[in-house]
Amino acid sequence: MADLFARFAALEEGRALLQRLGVNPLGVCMEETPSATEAVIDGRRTILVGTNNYLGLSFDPGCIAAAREALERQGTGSTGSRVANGTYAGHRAVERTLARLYDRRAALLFTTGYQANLGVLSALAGPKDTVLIDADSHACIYDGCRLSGATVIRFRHNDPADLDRRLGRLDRSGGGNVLVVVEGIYSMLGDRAPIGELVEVKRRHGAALIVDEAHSFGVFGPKGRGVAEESGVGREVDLIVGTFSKSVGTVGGFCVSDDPRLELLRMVSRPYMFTASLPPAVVAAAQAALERIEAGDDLRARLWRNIERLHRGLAALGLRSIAPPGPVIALRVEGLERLLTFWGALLRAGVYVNLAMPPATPAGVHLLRCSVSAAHTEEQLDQVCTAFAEVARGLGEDLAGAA
Amino acid sequence: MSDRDAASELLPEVCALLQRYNRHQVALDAGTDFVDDLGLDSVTVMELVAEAEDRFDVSVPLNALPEVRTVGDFARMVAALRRDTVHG
Repeated sequence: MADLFARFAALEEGRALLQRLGVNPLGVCMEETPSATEAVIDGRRTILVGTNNYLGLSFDPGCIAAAREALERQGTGSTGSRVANGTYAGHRAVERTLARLYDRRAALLFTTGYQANLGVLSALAGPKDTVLIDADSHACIYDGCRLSGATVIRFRHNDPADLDRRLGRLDRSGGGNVLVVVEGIYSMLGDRAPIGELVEVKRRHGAALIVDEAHSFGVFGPKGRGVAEESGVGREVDLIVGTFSKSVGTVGGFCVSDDPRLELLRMVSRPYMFTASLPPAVVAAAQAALERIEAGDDLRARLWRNIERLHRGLAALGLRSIAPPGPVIALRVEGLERLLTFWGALLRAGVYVNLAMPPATPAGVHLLRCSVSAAHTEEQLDQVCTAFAEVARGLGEDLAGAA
Repeated sequence: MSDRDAASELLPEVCALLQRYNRHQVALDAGTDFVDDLGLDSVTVMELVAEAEDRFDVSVPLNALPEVRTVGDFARMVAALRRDTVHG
């Protein structure tokens, strides 16, 4: 009989290593989550520093109240796609809010951020087109390109000169569109795209630009629109893609554009059409969170104070983030075994961070990845630093050497 | 020059570039398989592609990679891309 799992033989070896070291990253179970920054794991109260819950809105009382009301009035789910089952008023309201927040004519709601990129790229690019993507792009950008059937070319991470060279090399005689896709903040290393320079390059070559602000929406820019806004070139970006599963504190994806024909994607974008729409409680929570982001920058200011505090605390231990201070603090650890041991010891010390390793990381680096939240208290961030210091001491690690 | 001639001409240069990735020091020729003979994983293949792109001044579409299994396939692909760039 066909052995469908034989192809994963190499993964078995990885699992054996995890067993030997006594760590099980995929087995982490949050038995309780009393707040945006704490969980009970293995019966132990744990500080969460790996949630991407940048504004802490998953526990905002206004968001919870809105979700509860929608749940009771509209039920637990839409039980299907908007194309087949119809749109709820809440879906439309969220789209209007997104368009207003970004000051764009059109907004489209997707069920996840992954599907937003899949849905936009697969619909807007086709076999005659060329898509140039940053090499460190998230998997959903790669997958969206694949679904589009376009010619896909990677350019060197955050390298506008390399993008320029590659755009110059293209044979444009076929007449297809050229599309450049980048992210505002790259999720693994937390580094920021040079959007201003990228805009100049794309303009020179007559290409369109899509920016995925998944990790930067609500975090950067005077209105929280992301890195493009922060760089002063928000209007030059043709489409912005984002997610509700980070700063918005729930789940969902979106795309905004100044071209009203974005509406047409409702009739052609398969990841929009052939999946269930977001349930009412999620839509209501997102609506309340978006209004909260629109209303003021107090949460953003608190987040940035926390970023500075954790950054400073870790740097004092000799742990230097790969990127300049930002919502993602990625610390490099040499070697898979050291990474796993360090991560497991942190968890036992009551601190949960993300474990990031190849192929999810660029250039084969091993990372302890922390994400900061506006909901972290100063005490929690100080406890995180203390845990890092104690774990390192226990393992006999020279932290300056580890980073 | 045909693509095949151009590819044979490129082969020594491609092999030279590959030496850095040839951990087991196998003898390289057109038939050397990237996965079976050189044991390259997907991350290493992407590094190798980036280096080749700079060296030969081409952009390798991701779509073309699944068809490249051997050193000879790679040289043929680079030769074809160079022709497209020159005449494009």
